[in-house]
Amino acid sequence: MRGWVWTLRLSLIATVAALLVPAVAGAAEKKVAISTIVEVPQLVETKDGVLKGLAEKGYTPETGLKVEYQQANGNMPTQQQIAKKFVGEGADVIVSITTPTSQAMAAATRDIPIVFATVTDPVKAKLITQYKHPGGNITGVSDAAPIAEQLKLFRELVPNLKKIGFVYNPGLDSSKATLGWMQEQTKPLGIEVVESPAPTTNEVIPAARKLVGKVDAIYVPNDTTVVAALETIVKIGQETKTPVFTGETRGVERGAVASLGLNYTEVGRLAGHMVAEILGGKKPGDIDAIIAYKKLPTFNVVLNKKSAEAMGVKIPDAVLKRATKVVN
Amino acid sequence: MSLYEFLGTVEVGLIFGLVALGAFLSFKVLDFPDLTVEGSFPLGAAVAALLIATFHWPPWAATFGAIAAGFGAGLITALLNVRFGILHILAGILVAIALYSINLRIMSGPNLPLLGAQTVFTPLQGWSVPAYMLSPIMLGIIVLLVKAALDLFLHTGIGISMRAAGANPAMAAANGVDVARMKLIGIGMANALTAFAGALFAQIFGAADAYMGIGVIIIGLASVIVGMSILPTRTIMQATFACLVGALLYRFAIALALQADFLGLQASDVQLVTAVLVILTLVSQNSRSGVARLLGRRPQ
Repeated sequence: MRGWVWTLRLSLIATVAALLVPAVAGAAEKKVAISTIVEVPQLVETKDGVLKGLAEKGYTPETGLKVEYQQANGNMPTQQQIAKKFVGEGADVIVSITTPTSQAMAAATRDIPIVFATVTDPVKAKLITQYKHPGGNITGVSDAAPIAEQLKLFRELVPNLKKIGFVYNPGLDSSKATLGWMQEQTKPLGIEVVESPAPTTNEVIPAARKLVGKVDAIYVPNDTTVVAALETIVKIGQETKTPVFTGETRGVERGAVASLGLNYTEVGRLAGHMVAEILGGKKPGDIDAIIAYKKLPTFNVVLNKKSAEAMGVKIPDAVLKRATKVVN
Repeated sequence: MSLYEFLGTVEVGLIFGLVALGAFLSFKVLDFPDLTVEGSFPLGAAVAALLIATFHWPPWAATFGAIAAGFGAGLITALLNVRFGILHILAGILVAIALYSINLRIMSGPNLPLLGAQTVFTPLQGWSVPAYMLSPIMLGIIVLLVKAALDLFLHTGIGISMRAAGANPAMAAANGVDVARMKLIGIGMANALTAFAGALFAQIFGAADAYMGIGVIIIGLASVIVGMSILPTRTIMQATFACLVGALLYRFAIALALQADFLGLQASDVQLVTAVLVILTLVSQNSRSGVARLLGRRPQ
């Protein structure tokens, strides 16, 4: 008790001292504060992508960039405290990964520039009012999947695609948004979306099993809960010859048949470039918010030959020729 | 720690003081381990956000709506226990998991933003003192008022009957106390307090989210235990005060853990650091015997 009260006191004294002494550390030093609600592969990849993007623009720890990274272990009160910590200590740019993290940051400051990443629908989340010239202190990168293009690819691989299973966590904003877009895009094609909710990773197995025999393929959106159990779904897909597709290309390396579009390192990289622009003097409100896949020069088509065989999918030569990457 | 972060920590600590008061009422006064709060905290957030963002209610009216919803949730848990004989812990778990789905319905989705909306904290803007300094003061007044009201309540006839029903149900019943009714009222109140906290938290956080309830019960219970071990709790007033202090200390333990990078710790170690800090607090509270035990010596 006494020990940490002292630590607390000391840190308070140190902070007060730091406030009183004007910052001597030169203007060259820039600080970027990054936070996410929980550490899962997609979000860690996003964070690593941000650092990669920054490095590409010449901002690295070697050139005087200070990076602080905090995650909230899935706990929103902790996220709130991280937001207050970032704003209180000051940063040149805050990078917020996921919707709730971005909302906490947005509520905590209207002055410090915020770049969000891996927020599927930033307009609905009230982070920005529009993508073009968003104004205010917030801009960023949406990880929305290129559903229309993905469906086109899936239909080439599974020509008689009539029903597509959609395994998702109904508690995640991003998955809910993706489901809406998927339903919108499949309707004119005469494809039915069969929902299968899995509120926790433990419930992914029954949710995927439930779809077997009822659908022609299973689609795993960019859902942190479900992607965490992707291998399980792949196994079910192989056992029952049900093709499994994912919303991002990294899932293909983990055993899905195919995907098209983005991966999370790319989402982070694009956000990193925005951060670099802001560090260079641009205002966040003047930088258009973007949907990651629209910025990629060509759509990445990633295929997994071994999984395709195991799940009974015959990859047409035309698709194989178009592929950016073939796993196995 | 910056002043801004310090005040932010106080804010969250005060809000969780309400959760701690609720946990005190259920766990300590009624001896009813109520797990409904994992669902009633986000329920409060969801109801407040819905009423503010969709129905444009005044923020305080929306907050009272949330409190009422929380009371209802607690009532259902207590009803499952006293009327249908479902084990108290299970009754709470059942209502909490049901609330997960209900909250998704209320918000018509997993997340309902409050950014830019009118909240109970909006009137604090535009004064000569910045809002981030006024909001902890306002929350402090609210929480102390709630604490005083709870203290008074626990000294009324019903309050004393409730304490008796928790302390010794058989004896209380023999003296004409309706134990079942006391549980209904008490668990309802505990969840009303939790939903109140959820409603306030959503308005500070900028959104209500389906996952807001994660860990709330642990935070509430840890706050009560930490507070009650380091402060005297001979009277109700002291005990409720200890709960508030415990909630604040818990938040400061987390704030400290967030600063722990200089020890070579990484972001994901925060939970462990928090647990260690809370354990150290509990162990060292009774300084001599506690410290002796920590050093492996027998207390004198």
